[in-house]
Amino acid sequence: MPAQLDVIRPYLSSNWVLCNDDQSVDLRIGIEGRSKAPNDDALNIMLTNELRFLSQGEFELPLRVFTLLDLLNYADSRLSAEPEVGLVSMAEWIVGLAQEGRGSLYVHNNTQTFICAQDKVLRTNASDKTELVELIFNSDDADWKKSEDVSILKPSLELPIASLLWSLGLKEHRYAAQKWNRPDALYRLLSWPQLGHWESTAPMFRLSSLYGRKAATVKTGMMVSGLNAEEVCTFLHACSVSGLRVNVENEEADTVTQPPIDASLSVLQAFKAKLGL
Amino acid sequence: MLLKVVFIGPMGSGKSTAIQTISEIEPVKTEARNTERFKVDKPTTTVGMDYGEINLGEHGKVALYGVPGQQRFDFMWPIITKGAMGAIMLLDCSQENCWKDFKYFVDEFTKFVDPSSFIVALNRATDSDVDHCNQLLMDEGLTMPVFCSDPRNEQDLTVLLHVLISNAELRFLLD
Repeated sequence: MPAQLDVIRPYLSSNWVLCNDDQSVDLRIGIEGRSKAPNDDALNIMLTNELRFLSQGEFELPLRVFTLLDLLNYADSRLSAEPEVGLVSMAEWIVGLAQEGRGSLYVHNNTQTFICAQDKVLRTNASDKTELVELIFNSDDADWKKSEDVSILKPSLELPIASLLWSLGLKEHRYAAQKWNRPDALYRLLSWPQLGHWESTAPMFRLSSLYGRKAATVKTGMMVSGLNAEEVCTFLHACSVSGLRVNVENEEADTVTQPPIDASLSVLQAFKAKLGL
Repeated sequence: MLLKVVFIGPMGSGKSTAIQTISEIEPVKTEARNTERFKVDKPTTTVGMDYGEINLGEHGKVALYGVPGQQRFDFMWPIITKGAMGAIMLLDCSQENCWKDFKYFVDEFTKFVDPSSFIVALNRATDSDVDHCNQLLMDEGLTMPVFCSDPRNEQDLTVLLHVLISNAELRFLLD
């Protein structure tokens, strides 16, 4: 390893040095299934034989010199990334309003659009759901002022809050990735989203099947759905804000086997094609 | 290859209608005069089973079975559901005993259908009905997809079939 490090050193943006086990480190490289990461602030990267996971910051065994280069540059990018301060979820803000239960009225500073969330319904003078979702998504809570002037409360639209929060949650990719992308966490969905009635895509059916069936990691979600980590996290975030219970557990990593080559799978594909999916 | 989808649920929940809506052949029905109109006011009811098909060309077909909903036909339920890729439980939320029936059918059918291949389709339902149904399932320690679904609406039924397919694909991956 020291020799490999010397070879690639000219191509690295940081001066990486090898440390002993008892030293405080920025990066710890382990082997999936064998190494257990101590509970410190170091970035932990696990090496794996599972080639299919390579794109998400995991690297294959044996660790070759170019892989080490990729790994250290990847670690550099992770460690030097500025933490996103002040990233808020407007969906969670709406959840908070609905939970207040008093039907408080909030007016948007610029557009005079108002929202009044109570129990399971949101009343608004916005012309449609898409417009309202865009407005809320592109604002922050400081853009909305609480109003006591109930005379303006002439709603043109009443929306089920769960459906609105689902749409809003699906737009909050950056927040979702920050909140939900925990490599060791297992997520379990205790009820299903209203796919078909709420906006939905084919991978969301797969993700609902997975997380509704068992507690699983984001990585497993990526594998069964073909989505990237951020998209899987966004799905989990949308489920959570729309009132579906998502349990989070910390356990040993779950396992997924490669699908067998089976005639049943091709007939399922044919069935999907028949349904136009 | 034959895929099998079973529609279950109490009398009058819409099983025959659902099969009629999506079958590509004229459904085979076993209707007889309804002698329990005090329970569900319709002139006839299924006494054997309903049968329909979706043709998948060279890949085979999907057989759609509807079980008779009355308890006295319960001996047929394990026979009809054997080998099914999934079961869709239909429930009419406007019926008086809806949740009692729901609990009964969940208890009975989870004896011989894997809960992970189960879907609950609520007809004439509100969001509160969906929440209530999810809560009942959680109380039983079960997670099942619950949807508002009109058995006359092909698009609603397509969503249910899509869920069944996803669940079946996941079983291949995870089991």
